[in-house]
Amino acid sequence: MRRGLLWLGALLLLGGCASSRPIDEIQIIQQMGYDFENGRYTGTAVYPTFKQGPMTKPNMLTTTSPTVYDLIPRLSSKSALPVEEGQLRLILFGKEFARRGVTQITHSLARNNKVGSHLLLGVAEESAKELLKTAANTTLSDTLYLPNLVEQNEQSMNLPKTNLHLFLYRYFSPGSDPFLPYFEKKGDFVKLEGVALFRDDRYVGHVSLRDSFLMKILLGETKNGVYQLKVGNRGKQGEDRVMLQNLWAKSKYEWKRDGSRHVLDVFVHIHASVRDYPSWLDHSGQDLFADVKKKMQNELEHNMRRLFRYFQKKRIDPLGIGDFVRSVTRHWDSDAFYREYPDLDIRPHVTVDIVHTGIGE
Amino acid sequence: MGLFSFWKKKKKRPPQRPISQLWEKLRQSSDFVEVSFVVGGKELSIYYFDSLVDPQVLQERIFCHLQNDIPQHPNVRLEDLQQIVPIQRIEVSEDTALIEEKVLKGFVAVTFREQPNKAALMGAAAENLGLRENNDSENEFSVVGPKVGFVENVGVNLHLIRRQVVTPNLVFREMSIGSVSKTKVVIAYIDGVANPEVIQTVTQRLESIHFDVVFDNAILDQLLADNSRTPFPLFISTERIDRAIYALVSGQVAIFCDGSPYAVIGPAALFDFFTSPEDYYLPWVLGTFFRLIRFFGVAFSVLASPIYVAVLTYHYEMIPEDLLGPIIYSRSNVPFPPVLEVLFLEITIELLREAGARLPTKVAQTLGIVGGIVIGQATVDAGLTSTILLIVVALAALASFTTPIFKMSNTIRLIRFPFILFAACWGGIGIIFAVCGLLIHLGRLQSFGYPYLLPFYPFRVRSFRDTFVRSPYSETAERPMFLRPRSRFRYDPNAAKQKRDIDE
Repeated sequence: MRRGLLWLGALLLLGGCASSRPIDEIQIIQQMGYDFENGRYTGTAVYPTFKQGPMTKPNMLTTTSPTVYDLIPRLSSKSALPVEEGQLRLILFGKEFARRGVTQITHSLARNNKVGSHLLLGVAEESAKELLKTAANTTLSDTLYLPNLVEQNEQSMNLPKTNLHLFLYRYFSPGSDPFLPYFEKKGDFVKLEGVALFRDDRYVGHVSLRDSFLMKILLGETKNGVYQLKVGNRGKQGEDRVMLQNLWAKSKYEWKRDGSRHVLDVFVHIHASVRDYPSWLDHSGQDLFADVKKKMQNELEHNMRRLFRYFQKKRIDPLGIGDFVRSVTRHWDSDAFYREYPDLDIRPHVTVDIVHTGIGE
Repeated sequence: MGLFSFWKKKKKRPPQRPISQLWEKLRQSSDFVEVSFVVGGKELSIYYFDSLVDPQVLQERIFCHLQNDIPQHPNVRLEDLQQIVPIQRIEVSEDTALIEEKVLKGFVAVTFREQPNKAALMGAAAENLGLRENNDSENEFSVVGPKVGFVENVGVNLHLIRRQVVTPNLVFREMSIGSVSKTKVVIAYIDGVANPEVIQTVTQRLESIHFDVVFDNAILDQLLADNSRTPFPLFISTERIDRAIYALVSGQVAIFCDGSPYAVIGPAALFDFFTSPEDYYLPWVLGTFFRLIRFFGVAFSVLASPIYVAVLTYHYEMIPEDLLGPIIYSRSNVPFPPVLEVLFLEITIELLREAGARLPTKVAQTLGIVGGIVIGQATVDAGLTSTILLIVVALAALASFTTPIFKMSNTIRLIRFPFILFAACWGGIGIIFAVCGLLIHLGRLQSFGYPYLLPFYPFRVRSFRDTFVRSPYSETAERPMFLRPRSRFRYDPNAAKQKRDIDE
């Protein structure tokens, strides 16, 4: 009996130690933007307000500070309820901020137990604040417009998978560099423009959405994405293009020594379906796509070479080639490898299999 | 005469009282009848309780034969009455205590003047007077399967059992419990199947019970229990015949008690409380599915509202983004913290249930509708609770009804509350503490000395055939070995596994 009371007492006393945060008494922020302007940092938080039923309206809080860490406490001084970051879904960096390095944020996120590793990160072409504002204005009730945009494009389109976990993995790994989705403001809309590339934690450039398809394939097995190819020189715009839909692609790397130099062979096998093609292709007889296939392979190889050259020129490795080489090299030396990297001979070999071309084939 | 004089007397063995003193005592009661008459030169006295005796038996069997046949047997003694009176087992005794007990149970005592200290006892009790004739087992209803349930009359119950267990090994052991009620209690088991150790434990525990009136088997259940502080029922109590017989056949012991339509079955394990006879009447795939649904229902019923409390108070990070809007919106007008909100609704539901159980059926139905719809809707409209919680609590209440044994569903109703308090104090980790505490408690429980968590703790793989999965009958020939039955197989396992592809 006495022991029972003791337990009950302990329960009550210890229960007082936990700080409770009832869900309706906190300000949940779902998106956060960081900018660097005129020597000061600007933080923008997007939080939902629930007015009519489950319909939500995105609202914004903005504050500026000379340091980054100070931003969230400063936001609290503008909010009636304590600001809680446990439901963060997206963090957007302004281009200027990203150029100066994002470690301050990601390092704190890596240790924050409230934030999940599924958190998405992104880079805005100009200011993150403007982009978040535009996104908030384009949607009626969806506070998660940008995260949904990214997820949708990762799942069914050309964007390679990114999130905080993968960012940190690529950031800390000696054999790869991180990349993030890249947004641009087009008029009153927000548009996904491609992939922003980082050297360590600094933004160094970006590639287009079309090239990000190649990145997606080169990063590993993938089942989606579309790619448009030029197959002829006739007629108007669009009449000489083939729209390729990736069904299943696989990439394989081979690391060889060729004399004094190293050679990286990249074998890419794409099972694709042709979604749209110009009508003149139909007249060329039985082997409808034999010629097209050849052209596709050549063009893909050409584009991949271009992409590799771009990465080599920027001395970045978003594809994790260093990681691959490390996996097949004993005593891999990161510095030595990246000294050689800009002049590395990377040879893409693309095989395209056209699986089907729609009804009637 | 004190309340416990019955067993005190046994202990001290007081000197025998003369029989006349007994009649003197019984005469105080106005329903005690004493008839004296002379027939064929014999002076007879007949004593009985009017309220206990079946008048038809009394007149047609006893009076009729005594009056007509004694003149033809002038030298008849009490011991010879069996030849005259067509009543089974006439007992002649000098023991006043025995005579008293029998007369109080509806026997008719006949004395001759020549044998003043002896009485012949003839059973003429109106066994079924005022008792139910049948029971449709509505409290443990099953759509498929027999609908006959046990009734208050223990004789009928034994008959129902004996009808289906046609073996000389079925043993009924009778004893009398209760200093005032002298209730007839019967232990039933199958000799050669049930472990003698269990039978001995049951007999010993029953013999050591000292109580005045045994109203129902539920009282025996509590007096027999290994641990009286647990909210968990340690024995199954059932009104279904099939369930009782299944228990007997698996090697368990059943206890019947006069005046109670329930049989108490032990040793019972936790999992026995979640099996329903219907599992065995449906094909095993369906039986298994419904059994799993029931387990899910119990887990849901216990954990749903604590998780609501924990998540809304401490773990807002865990809410999926699509649920965030509806939850926050429905919570926004509620003035209480989540704990009070949950307790308020849970207690409302408990009130409804309790009120529904105490009221006559027809009123209870109306009350259910009024309570469920009106109060539910009104509390949400008034902003006292959130709509989501209303759904959670209602589903949890619904899920707790899926347990086939009523006692267990009561337990589930109760253990939800400590879970809610733990969740309110410590959040998710509090729920884990509560679950651990519950498992420790369950692990310590015993039923007639057998661990309650069998076959999980101690772990018995072979007995798993009939726990989560109700295996097909080709696999269940072996009795659950954790009960340590004397015989291993219920039926021939090889014959059960034989495939009859070709019907010759």
